[in-house]
Amino acid sequence: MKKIILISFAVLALSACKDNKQTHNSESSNKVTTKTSTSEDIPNNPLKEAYFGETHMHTQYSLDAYIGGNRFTPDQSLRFAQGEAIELEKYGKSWQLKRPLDFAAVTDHAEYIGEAYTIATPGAKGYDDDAPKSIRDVDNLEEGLKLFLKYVVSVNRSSTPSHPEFYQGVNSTMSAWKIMNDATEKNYKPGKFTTLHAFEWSGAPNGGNLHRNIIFRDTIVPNLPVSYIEANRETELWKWLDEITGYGSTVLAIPHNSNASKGMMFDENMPNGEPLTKEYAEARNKYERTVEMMQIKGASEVYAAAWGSDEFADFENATTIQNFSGRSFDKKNFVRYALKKGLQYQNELGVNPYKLGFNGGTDSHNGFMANVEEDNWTGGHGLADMTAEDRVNNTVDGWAQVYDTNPGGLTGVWAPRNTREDIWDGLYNRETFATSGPRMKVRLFAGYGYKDTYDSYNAFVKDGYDKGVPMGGDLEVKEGGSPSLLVWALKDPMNANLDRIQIIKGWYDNGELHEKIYNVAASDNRLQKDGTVTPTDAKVNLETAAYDTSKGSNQFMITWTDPNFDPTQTAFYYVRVLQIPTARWNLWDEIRDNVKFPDQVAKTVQERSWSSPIWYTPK
Amino acid sequence: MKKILKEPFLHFIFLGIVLFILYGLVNKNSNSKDTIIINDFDVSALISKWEMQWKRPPTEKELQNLINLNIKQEIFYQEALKMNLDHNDEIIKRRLSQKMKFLSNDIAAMIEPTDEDLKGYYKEHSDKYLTPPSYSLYQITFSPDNRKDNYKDAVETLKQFPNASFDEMKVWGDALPFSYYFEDIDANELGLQLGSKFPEGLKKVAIKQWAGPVQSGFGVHLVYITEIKAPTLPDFELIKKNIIRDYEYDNQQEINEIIYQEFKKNYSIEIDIKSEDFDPKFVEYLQTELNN
Repeated sequence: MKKIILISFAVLALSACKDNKQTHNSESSNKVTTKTSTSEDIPNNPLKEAYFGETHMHTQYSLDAYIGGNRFTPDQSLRFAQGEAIELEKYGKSWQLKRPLDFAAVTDHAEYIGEAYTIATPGAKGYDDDAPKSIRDVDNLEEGLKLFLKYVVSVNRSSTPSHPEFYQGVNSTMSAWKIMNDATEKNYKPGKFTTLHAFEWSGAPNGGNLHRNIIFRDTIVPNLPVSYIEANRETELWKWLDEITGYGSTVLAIPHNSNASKGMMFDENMPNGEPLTKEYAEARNKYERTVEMMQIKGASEVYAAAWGSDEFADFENATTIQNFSGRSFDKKNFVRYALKKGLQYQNELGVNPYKLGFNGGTDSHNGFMANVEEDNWTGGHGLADMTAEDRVNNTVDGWAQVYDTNPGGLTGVWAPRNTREDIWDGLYNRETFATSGPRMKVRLFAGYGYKDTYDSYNAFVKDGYDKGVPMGGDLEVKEGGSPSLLVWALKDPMNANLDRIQIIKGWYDNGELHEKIYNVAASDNRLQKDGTVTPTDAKVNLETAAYDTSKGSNQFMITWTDPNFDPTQTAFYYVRVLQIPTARWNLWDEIRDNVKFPDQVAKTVQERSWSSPIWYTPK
Repeated sequence: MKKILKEPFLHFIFLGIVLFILYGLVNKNSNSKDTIIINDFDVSALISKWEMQWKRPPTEKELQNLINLNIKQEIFYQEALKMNLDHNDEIIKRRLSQKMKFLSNDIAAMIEPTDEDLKGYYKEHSDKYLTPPSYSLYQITFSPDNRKDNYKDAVETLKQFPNASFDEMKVWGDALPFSYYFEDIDANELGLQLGSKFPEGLKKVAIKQWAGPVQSGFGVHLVYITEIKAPTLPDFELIKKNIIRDYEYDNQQEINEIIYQEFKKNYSIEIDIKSEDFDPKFVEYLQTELNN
């Protein structure tokens, strides 16, 4: 297998020219970048703009999605992402995003794209065999589940995955990968809509989720993606990434669903059972720049039972994922734990393996790219949750009760232009934020000599860059200097106002890990001198699902100084922006389709956005 | 041939002929003594299928066995057909109706549109390809963040300074991260930045003067529109790719529908619902709707 990958390495013939490929700056400076020659005509905004997109999406080339009823091609999904309506004959209805996305990546499971190709392509070798036929004929959930168990679960969720019997070999995988890449190329419109070449490596030893989305910076992609079958653990995945890097690819990996990783995503031990080494930390740090903070199967920031001191931890925890596949919640499956643990490794190994910025995604398996708005949701898994009734009654097999899942999130990237290289560089430099769906924007800078207030947004941002680093970067160490943070957030013009801004600090002190949440801004004059905030009294109308338009803020723009800053402590800071309460998707279902969800299902949520952290590492 | 294929009404006739021939073939078979012929093609197919599964050729014994199994399946299949066991089998129904659909998709795919067709389509659906209107405008925002009654403030500002210059008016708004002046920005982009209410509201205000308040996702605005560019139709050649895509999609839907409707003419659909659980009005509705 390895040989094939190496020999048949492909370069899609395009103008992306290797000589101009940028190099990433060193860890300490974290600033971008030079430009390729591909998209010179597109104007450059040095203050950068926030672009919203999706980095996690399945089409019919993911076998589990196909069995679940997904018949969308990557091309159709990417067109949906740009605002086109898609009609489903089976339901006699059409669907459309309320707003187009700025960028998107199709990330089908690399494991079985060949099988899905065989099933979906009339005339393909093996198309008329029994298994592909029976999979094509599925039109109800029960039948689908049986086939899902037979063809996906039984061969993939063990520690030694394999192809199902009807696999037609490497040619079918190459055909599918080519279709995915062609669709990605076809839909790229520099300056308007960016597509990224991508796939998902779906490692799940004994059901513990270690999945990573692999995202390419340009069109230099290998002839085949790597799957869990060839690369059994993350360490082998990184080796493969090293290999393709050697052949000219520029690539990063985004882990997700640490909440379902059974302690494996941020384990103290490596796959071989030995404690984490510097080499492991370096490889991880090199490729894994961001982590998916939230998606349809739950948020991975924190969970309520273990973070009692965080009053907003009880948000899309998807607690019923503990009822499936032998999972249970543990602090070490969550991102805030990993960020803190990373500080410890920084001190012990000199490298932080978990220096992670934030992504949001959906992981939708029904082909509806980034359909994240609560009032427009149509489930994430096809036959399992397509209708309101399905969503009341069904489970997402092996995962959770549907009512415990959510429409998923978006990734915001700060970039000077909406081109493939600029979006990718934003991801690489972690100048990203995750949102739980609404298009709130958030900025964070840390530096020295910032003013207490600014007259304009542009002056604020300019000073942010001139005297410090943006989110995802490292605050400079300055002897005797007193750093401060610039924080800004803007509401989504098509959604509710903002409730407050919080800064979450984690630090390492004499072998111990700490965290603290600071309220730094609140709407309607609710921030008290002692840093507490009177909870918002904005209510959701449970009859109409309307949110309160009289409460909350449009925008916050503040300068904040950490009252407990200690220049000798390794630390990180990230921002969490909260919206005032709005209706959760199930309330829309209840109102529109006259269904009833169990009482324990929350009817409202406080949507939010998380900025990537800024780190401080004493010399 | 191409011309004929383009006449939607003839599709049905074309299909009819195909079906007639097929029917003739099947009928002839049932008149003669039943014969099952195993030819080179069948045997090679069996062998390659075996090789795919077992990664080696079958032995002679295995091949014999395969052929026997195949004959058995064929005989059962033929006898089952004679006993009408295929009737009302959900899977067979689905499969066959799917095959019919593939057939009509194939017909649709055979028709390559000429430039003339495409231009006609482009003309007929020109609203689909119109660019949104674009605006050049000045705006100031009255945000509820900083005001008790932002709407009233906007109204009063307009009343007090209806003829203010661009420099003078600038100071009355609140600092939000939007330009004071937008040059040639299209309505969709304005909607993304400020919320869809804003471009809607712009349609209702006078141009070349301060006007408003216009609502957005961030409060209300006073605007001075200096120029509106009406929606334009992009050149045919520029968007030909999109037109082909839309034409082919619509054409396929249309042909599927025509073929379905032609077949449907041969059936009268009767609703025979007696249960009182169903609203008689609903039954009546079904009866009339389904026969249309």
